Amino acid sequence: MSTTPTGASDARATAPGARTTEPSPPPLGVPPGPPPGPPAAIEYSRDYWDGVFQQLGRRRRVRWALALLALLYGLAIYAPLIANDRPYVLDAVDLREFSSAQRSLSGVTTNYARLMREGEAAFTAGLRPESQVRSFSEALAIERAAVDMRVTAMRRALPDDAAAPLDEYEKELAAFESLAISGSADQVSTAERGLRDTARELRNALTPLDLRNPDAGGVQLVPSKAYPLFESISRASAFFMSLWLCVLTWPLWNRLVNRVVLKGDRTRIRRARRWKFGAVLGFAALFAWVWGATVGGSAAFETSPYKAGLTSGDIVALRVVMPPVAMGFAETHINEAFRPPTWTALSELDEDGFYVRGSRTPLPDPVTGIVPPASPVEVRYGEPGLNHPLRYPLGTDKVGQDLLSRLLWGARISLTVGLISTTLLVTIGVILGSLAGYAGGRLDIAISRVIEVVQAFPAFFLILVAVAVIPSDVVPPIYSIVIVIALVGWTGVARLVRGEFLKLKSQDFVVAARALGFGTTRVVFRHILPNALGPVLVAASFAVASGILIESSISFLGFGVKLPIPSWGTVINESRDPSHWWIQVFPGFLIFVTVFCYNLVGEGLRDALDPRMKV
Amino acid sequence: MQAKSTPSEQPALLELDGLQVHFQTEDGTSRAVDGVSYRLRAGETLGIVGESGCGKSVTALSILQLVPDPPGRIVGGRILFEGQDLVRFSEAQMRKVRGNDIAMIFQEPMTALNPVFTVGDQIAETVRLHRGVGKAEARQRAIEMLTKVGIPSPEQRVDEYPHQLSGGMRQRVMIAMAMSCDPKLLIADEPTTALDVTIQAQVLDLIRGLQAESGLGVLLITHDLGVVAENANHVAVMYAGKVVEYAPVAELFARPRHPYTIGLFRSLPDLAAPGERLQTIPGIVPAAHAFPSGCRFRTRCPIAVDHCAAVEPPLVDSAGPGLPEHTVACHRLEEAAKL
Amino acid sequence: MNVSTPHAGAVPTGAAAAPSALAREVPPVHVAVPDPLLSVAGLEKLFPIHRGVFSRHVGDVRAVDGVSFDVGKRETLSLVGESGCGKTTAGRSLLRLIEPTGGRAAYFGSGAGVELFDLSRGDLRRVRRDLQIIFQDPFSSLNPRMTVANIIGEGLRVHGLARGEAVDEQVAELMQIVGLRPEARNRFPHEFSGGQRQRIGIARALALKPKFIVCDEAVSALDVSIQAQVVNLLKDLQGEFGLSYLFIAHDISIVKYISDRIAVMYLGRIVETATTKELFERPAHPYTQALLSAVPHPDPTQRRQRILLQGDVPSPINPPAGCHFHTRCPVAIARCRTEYPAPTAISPTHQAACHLVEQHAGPAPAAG
Repeated sequence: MSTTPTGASDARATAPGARTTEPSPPPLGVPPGPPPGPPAAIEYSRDYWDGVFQQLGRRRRVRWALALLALLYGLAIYAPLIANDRPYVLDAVDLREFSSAQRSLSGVTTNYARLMREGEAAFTAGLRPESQVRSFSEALAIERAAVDMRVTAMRRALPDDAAAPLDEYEKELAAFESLAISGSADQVSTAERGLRDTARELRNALTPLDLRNPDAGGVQLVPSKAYPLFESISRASAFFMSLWLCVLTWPLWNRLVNRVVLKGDRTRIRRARRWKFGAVLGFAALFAWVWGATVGGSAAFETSPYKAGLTSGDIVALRVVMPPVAMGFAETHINEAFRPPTWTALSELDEDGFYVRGSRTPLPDPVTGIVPPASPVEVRYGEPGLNHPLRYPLGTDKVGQDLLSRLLWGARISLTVGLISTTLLVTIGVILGSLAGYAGGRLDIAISRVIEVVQAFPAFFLILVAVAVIPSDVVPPIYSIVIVIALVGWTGVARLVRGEFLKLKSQDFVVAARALGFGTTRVVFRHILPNALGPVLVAASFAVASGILIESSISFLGFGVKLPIPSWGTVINESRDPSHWWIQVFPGFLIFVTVFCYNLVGEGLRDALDPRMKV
Repeated sequence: MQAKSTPSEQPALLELDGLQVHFQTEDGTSRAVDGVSYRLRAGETLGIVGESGCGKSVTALSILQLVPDPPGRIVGGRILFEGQDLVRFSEAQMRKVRGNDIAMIFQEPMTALNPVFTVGDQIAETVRLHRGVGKAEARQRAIEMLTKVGIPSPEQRVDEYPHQLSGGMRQRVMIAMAMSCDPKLLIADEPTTALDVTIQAQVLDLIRGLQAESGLGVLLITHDLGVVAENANHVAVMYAGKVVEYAPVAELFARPRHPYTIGLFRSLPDLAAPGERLQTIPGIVPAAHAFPSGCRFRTRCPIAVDHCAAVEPPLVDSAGPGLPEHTVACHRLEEAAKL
Repeated sequence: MNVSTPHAGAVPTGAAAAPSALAREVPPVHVAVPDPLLSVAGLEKLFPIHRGVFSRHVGDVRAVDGVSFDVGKRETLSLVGESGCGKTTAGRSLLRLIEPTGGRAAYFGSGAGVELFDLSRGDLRRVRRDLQIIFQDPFSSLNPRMTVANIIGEGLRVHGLARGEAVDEQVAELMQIVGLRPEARNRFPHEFSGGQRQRIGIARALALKPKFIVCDEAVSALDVSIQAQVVNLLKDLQGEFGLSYLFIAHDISIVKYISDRIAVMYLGRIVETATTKELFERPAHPYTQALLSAVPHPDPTQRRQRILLQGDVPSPINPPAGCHFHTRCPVAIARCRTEYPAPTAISPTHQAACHLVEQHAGPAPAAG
């Protein structure tokens, strides 16, 4: 098996009258050239999908659409970092916490000491039927914990040189505890009284310095550093944030990896593709896990006290860094309900926070002529001023929640619903479509009838019914919507895949695979399916757009995700009043842009897959 | 390059003079037809022979200005039909010529016929467009044409759809459509490649018969040397967008001069003795956007030298005086003769 | 009319026992070969036609209607005919890529004869290594998404003939054998020309070291000079690896060059079988004669008297009664319209099914 027959024997013309004695031509596919030297390097070429994506990228519209979508997804993923009522960094003294600890310490100490002195017998005797705590040791532990908590809170905020009274107190407490076990009743009573006095003195000695009233004197507290915003980011959010960063910087680090690790070897680069995907996912997962273990991970769904505390002075800050949009998505400003975007409003409010211009100005009572009192609008810490154009760039809703913040957070819901429902429906559709297309016969007939029946369902109403019927604490409506969209929408994809399978089944290369003795699984998955996926991609793009629209419509009708979690459709639902134009225009515009971009991408894919439409 | 014309010959019905058709592709400019010249006289058949990619079909399409623009364009040369340069014709003028003076039949009869119209309608459409006659008269003419091309029971067939006819019949219908307005020139682009051998014989026979009857000129494009041998008066061999050899058919088959033509003949199994290896032309046809410099055949030519890479060989008449012209484009004719 | 195509992977119909429809009437043309590699008897493939609202079975397309032939070792048997005669269907039914509805095929490649149509899926898979096929269309016979290395090497991996690096080496070797550059093995099919793609198809077939290859119009879609290259290659491979070919074609000049014996098919049946020399020198059946005379010969000095057949090939749904060819036959007699002719032996290696031939030569001995 070693000679190249075509090379050597073309010169071997044996018949009489042969006219040629040409030198043996080189192996075919190579034009006659220099003699072969060292073995040539293995050549590579673009594979089909590289070609398709290159074609896709040639159209300007598609490039813009993809860029916009990337921007939208980026905004959605990083929404917590952009619009939040928690500060990034809070270097402050929690005055209120210290004050309350300082003031209540003596009371708690008294209770604890008394409990210890009276002992178990008295406790059990004094138990009432409705008492929660039935055991003496448990009660003791609870009281002790209360003391500890206050001590810790105070110690945290005190500079080292001012903590001496606390140390003394703790020593006395320890002494009292050992005395309570082994001492006589008199010693215990004496110690208890002493402890109570110490606690009272502590209260006086450790009065904090009130910066608003510095002349009153007091202890200067030490600020502690916290990162409230980062602590509120959940593991899942952290995962997607790091994943997105990797995806956006792909061109850079990909090139680096190719050059350094793989040393530019095309074979290894080809093989490494899968590893790269896995590595990115693994890195993001690792990051999220580490994040959860270190910084935080409690999802924030309630309005945090930080802004309130800062405004009221309970938290005295040395350094606060607020996010660019310093409004929470669930942070209400009752007196600013349905405010239009502040850059359109003409200084409605005066310095004290009363509406003096515009439609919200309170009118004098026609009978008495007196202007009714109104509650002033307060500006919280970190927020732009009352009439600042960037206070509410997109206006507010019914309870005064900032629309910009809500739309950014709402993007997470709206954009995800489309993606997940599409993934599900593509999976179902591909499986059923390939079964029907490849197996043919009765299975095909059965599946085709199922497709026709399912297609007859009005998808939208089915979703409405499902969401209305399934109680929202059993299955949150967001999941019902996703699942029902998938269960009703798979039919289009199934039809496409079935059609492609029918066409490809009789292609020669499939017959060749069977002739080589390959089993059905291999033929279907490795030969037919990769060739059938083109139209599926196109359909998937359009399905995502459609999913987003359906979810928005459902939410708009009020059946969608429940408050306070926003979705773009829910926001539109806030008001049907045409004078509240910002409620309808901004979310509507975002939905429009997203759907439009997906449609452009879908069309671009369709053209890129069409072999005749080369740009 | 101008072909010699002796005073005794009739004026050419069709003459291509240095035709150049270029395509803009993503890989660059594809010079599909690059200086092609040949002539066809009335009542004769000119066979254009070449392999796929040599530009013979593009040449034919450009005669009728059917090359899609973009990406293709006629960038140079003249197409003289009865003395007039078709390249300069406007679209309206071309429409009068197509189907009327020059007709074309294609390789794939199924895709060349419109599946939603009956056969009779399609023939009648041409007639009505060019002759301006009424429906009934056009239908009569259609039946007449179907009879002429040898379709049995034409009165029934005239109302049938293309999918109801066999391949051979469809090809005959195409010929009927082409001949319905009595054209002077018939361009047949691989008319029998998709047909079975016995049907092929019938169709070629039919074309020969029609030609004898009406004195029409036939431009027969094919890759089958046998078809050319039996049907053509003159032959032009094309390679990579150029004509490399042109001669009367008997002369070409008796004394091929160009190395490519020689190689082609050698690779025909008919001419090989059984058991002997088929001679082959090594390599493949170069891609249209990257033709070799100088002579385009030099990369596969057994007798190529450096001069062949530098200078493109012109078409030169190698026959002696008084003999019918036999033009070849090769620098090394003496060595070629020894092949 | 809708013709339902059979399942892609249907269980064999147990066709081994049922004799073909034709055998009931008249034995098929069959020239036996001593010590054959493959012996096919009465191969039949019917496609049922369903019509009407309830898809009633109203008839059959008799694509292959009782075909018998033997293929010897290191021999090329060509199956020639025009479109619709059933030659491609015969080739594919033989390999059970389309499930045959009747007939027997005995394969003697591994010593004792194996009935191909009786094999279970698992056994068939093993035997498939010996029986390979090369397709006509170089553009649809290669998976456009797989690299050439994968296309050629997948068979090796699946059948466990090689693993890892060894696969790559064998692929490179195969590519060199068929005349391709091994460095191009990671390219995709669309980057190769038609002739090169056919070579890839040949390499794919060779990978499993077969003994028998069906060449299903393997060179018909190629240019003349490329055809010559590929045909040379096929001949070389036959010499080097001792292959047998069933060469299906419609171009009789290539057939003349490459085959040892030729069988001419018309409308699902073989009408004549002979050695190449015999067929070209003394074609017996009128169809063969017309076929040979219709081929345009590249010699302008020879304007032969051509036998022109009337009309078109009849449809295999409704073949004419009696001899299938009588509607177009220039020398048909009355008997041809009613009775299908039995095979006549003109020589031990030459048989034809025609009444006129029978009248001259006498009937054939019982087919082997």
